[in-house]
Amino acid sequence: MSLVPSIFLLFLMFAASQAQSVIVHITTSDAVDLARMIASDEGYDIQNTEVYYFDSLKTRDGKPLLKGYTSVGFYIRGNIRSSISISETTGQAFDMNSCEVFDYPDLKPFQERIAHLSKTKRKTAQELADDAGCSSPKVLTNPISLAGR
Amino acid sequence: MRWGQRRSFHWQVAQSSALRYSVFQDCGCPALALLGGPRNALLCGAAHFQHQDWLGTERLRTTYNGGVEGSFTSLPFGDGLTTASGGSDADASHYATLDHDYESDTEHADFRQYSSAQGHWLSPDPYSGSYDFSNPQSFNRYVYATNNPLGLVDASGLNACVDNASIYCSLPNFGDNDGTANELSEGLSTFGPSVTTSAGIFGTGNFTWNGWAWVNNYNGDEIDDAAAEEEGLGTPLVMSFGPAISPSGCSATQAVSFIKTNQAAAAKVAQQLGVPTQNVLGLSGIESTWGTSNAATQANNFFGLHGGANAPFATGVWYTGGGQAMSSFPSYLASAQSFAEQYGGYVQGVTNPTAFAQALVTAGFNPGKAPLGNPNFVRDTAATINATPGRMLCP
Repeated sequence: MSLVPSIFLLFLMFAASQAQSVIVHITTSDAVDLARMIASDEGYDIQNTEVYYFDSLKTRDGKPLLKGYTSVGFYIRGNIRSSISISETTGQAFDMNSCEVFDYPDLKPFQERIAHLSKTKRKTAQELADDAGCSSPKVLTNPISLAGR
Repeated sequence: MRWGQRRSFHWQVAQSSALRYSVFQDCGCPALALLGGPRNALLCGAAHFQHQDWLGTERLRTTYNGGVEGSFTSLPFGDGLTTASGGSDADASHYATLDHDYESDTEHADFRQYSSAQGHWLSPDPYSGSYDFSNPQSFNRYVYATNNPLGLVDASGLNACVDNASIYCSLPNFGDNDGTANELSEGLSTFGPSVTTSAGIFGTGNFTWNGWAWVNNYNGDEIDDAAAEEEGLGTPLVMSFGPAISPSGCSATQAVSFIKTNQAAAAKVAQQLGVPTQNVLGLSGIESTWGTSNAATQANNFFGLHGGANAPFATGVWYTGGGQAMSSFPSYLASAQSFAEQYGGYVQGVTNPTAFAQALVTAGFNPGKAPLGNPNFVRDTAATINATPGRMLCP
């Protein structure tokens, strides 16, 4: 191999290492705020805190539900309605059990901020589904009116 | 039993042996045919004792005192059947225990039709898992028993194997086809862990292969030909597996870990409910988000059960963030048993995931609609249950 291609190869490797995405620590408070927005977009009156509440989803020994994601449970009277996992590199959110990707308009500012900090491109719905171990992801873009349910 | 019917008895020399003996009697009397009913059934003729070779093909027939009634010879693939010593071809399965059809002069197997006159199957092997790159004969999809009719038998049309009397021959080729008892255990990695038997007494549920028989996880019953014979179910016992399953959804490591940790306890309750284990595991998985909900981590409540300390198997009360009283349990098993006690009446024997979830909506387990429930509860629960067998096979 001549020297020029070798140097070019080294440059590519260096550039790749510089472009590596950075994991952004999402606080529980931020994650809960995002989950509240999603629940509201899903049509629930989240102001009723006796019925609806949010809490982080972690194992007993503090491990995350999904590696690379911060997860929050949306509870109705103690029963989980949705498990919302938020990517620590793109801010995108989905429910691993329903395999639904939440892409409501009001989530964009948060997601853009996370993606900007992590220097990471948005993932496709299928990539998110692969991370969650589910198939046939559905992307939800339009908030739902509870009256219409 | 009426005129013209045949009463047959079969037994094996040893459970693992292909050597089987049969006796038949032709029953009823023409003069009493119009009477029919049980009385005519008593009028059965002399017993005919059938003696099969190691493949299950009748070679000799004798009377009760040992007198030879007939002898039968045929070529290796069952072709060229001839009778001697005054016998007649009266055997219902005159080649390797395959059921003979006198109208078409072919033999019925479970999955294919065999022509003993031509010496090959009439359709290609439908089981793609029987391809064996170490055996070129497996690529001939019409050949009987991989062209080894003296050493192997194939009662199902799917699997050539050594021992026609054992349950291994009732099943597709799960293992390396070496005819040993580990055929089934070798296949466990490619087939789902849920096994259903043709015998209702064993129920539907999960079984563990102990090296020589399937064992019912719930009551310890061994499932084999001997047990089936004892229960009068006939042999060989037909067992069926769920569709071929491969590991999937393994990137959800917490879900996989949750399933492995709780599978045995879920199997016990599933057996009690008469449902596949994945129904119990999947439901608890979605209700606790794979053991990460606060009710699961703080109160071992994996099914989102309310009722406080008064719920069956509960040991205390646990309050949600919203102040709702939920039950606290000592273990996953207790939580599952409580679920079974409270909702078993609705889901007993409901194996289909969608019907299982729908029954829970009917029972009020989840309202199934907003604002107090999940409008997609049935869909999401069924999908989670359906995804569970693939996760059960994850490393």
